[in-house]
Amino acid sequence: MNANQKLSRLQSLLERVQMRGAQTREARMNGGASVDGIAGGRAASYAPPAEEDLVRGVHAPAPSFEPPAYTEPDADLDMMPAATAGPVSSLPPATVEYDVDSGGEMEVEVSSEIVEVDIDIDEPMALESGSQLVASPTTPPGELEEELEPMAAQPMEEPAAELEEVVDDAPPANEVEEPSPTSSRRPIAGEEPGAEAYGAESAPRHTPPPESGKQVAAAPSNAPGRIPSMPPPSMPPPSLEGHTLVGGWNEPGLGPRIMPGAGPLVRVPGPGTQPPVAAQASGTRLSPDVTRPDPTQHANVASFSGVPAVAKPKTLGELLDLTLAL
Amino acid sequence: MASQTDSSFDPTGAVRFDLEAGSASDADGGRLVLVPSEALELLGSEALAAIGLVMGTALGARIAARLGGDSGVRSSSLEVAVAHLAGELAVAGIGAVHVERWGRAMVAIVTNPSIGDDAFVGAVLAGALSAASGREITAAALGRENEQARFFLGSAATVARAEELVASGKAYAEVVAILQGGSS
Repeated sequence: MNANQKLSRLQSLLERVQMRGAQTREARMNGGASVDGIAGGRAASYAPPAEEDLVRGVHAPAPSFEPPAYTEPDADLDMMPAATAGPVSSLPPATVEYDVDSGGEMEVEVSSEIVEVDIDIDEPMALESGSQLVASPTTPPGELEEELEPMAAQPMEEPAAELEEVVDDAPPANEVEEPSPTSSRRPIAGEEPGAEAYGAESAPRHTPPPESGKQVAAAPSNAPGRIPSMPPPSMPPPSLEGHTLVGGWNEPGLGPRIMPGAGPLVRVPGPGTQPPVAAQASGTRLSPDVTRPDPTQHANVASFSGVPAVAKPKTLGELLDLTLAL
Repeated sequence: MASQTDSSFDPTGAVRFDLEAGSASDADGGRLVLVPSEALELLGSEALAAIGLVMGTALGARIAARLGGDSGVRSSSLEVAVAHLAGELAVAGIGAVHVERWGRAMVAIVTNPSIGDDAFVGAVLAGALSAASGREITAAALGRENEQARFFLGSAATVARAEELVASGKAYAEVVAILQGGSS
């Protein structure tokens, strides 16, 4: 059913409702007391569903009669969208009163009353500078228009039970349910109630973080593979007790660690203390043969010839000549 | 008195005191006045230099008289000449003198000088050598060190240059080296 068909049916329903409403008003204008009396008598014979049952809708005992207004139920009405709290809140909902005729004839009194529904809608507040809306509107504008029209007419047509049934399935009227954004936090394994359903195929759960100030003492039993381009790992500090082949190196001062069932400890020298000696296949040690030059102890590298001219005056006259010549 | 041909210095009779006449004289009869050194210290450098030059000239004349004139003095060995020069300055109470030769430079060292002003001692040296040798000799004070006063003996121009170097703060060894054409 398309929108046009919906509109046409709704219009026809609206016309009928208006027509009957006009008839009812006319009847009241003519003899309100009789109508009230009729209504009162009818009320005595007809127990309207309690409010609680009315709210539940589906549990309320359906009247044994079929209101004339609904004798020709439109199958398409069931296909109409359910009323949502948000957009309908501004429209005056209507309650339907059933007027049952004890004589087998039944008249339907349809009256519309304005019921104020206090609905808290989170209207967009003035955003602070820089803030943005995260959630998108729950209903696209196009669909919202499409829903407004049937909702405007539905309270006039649907019985209260059916209406409440629909409302019961919908979220509370004063709450606007927003779909979860795609970027919301995903539940982790520990929070899921059916976490055991994952079984062995589930991903490894996160271990609880260590307490503040503590470190994990146990190292992984298997060291991860080292990348060849990475520098070699640092050596542990030299132990006073030496190194053993059992259990790696020992912490200085703690003594060797003896494993039950292990044989005698084999001690190996620490790294870097002895000069490297290459082992030969024959078992003899290979040491370098150094050849150093033997410098000569004495050598006449420089030779001098002649004697510098030094004035050695013999007499006072010669010395006076020299000093006066300066 | 030493003979004319005696190379060594003989101070016998260098000073005569005539107690009756109340006079003091040298070996040649020249009058002497014994003056306290403190009295000379009251004089200025120029006056002291003038007094010292007169005293030195008298001392040099006596050396020349003993060594056969200025030519005899110049022809005398350094040891003889220095011995007579030192003998005369010692008798006069100037101080103990010896001579150093720094290359071509002649440097006289006066130990324990009686007068603190170097102008006086230098004038005595210059006067004595000039009178003894017959050459014009000028002395430049190179400074004192451990009661020893050093004097360069040379020409007036070289002495003036040496005094400039000393005034600039250079040590006496540097001054002597510079005067002989070394690093300046």
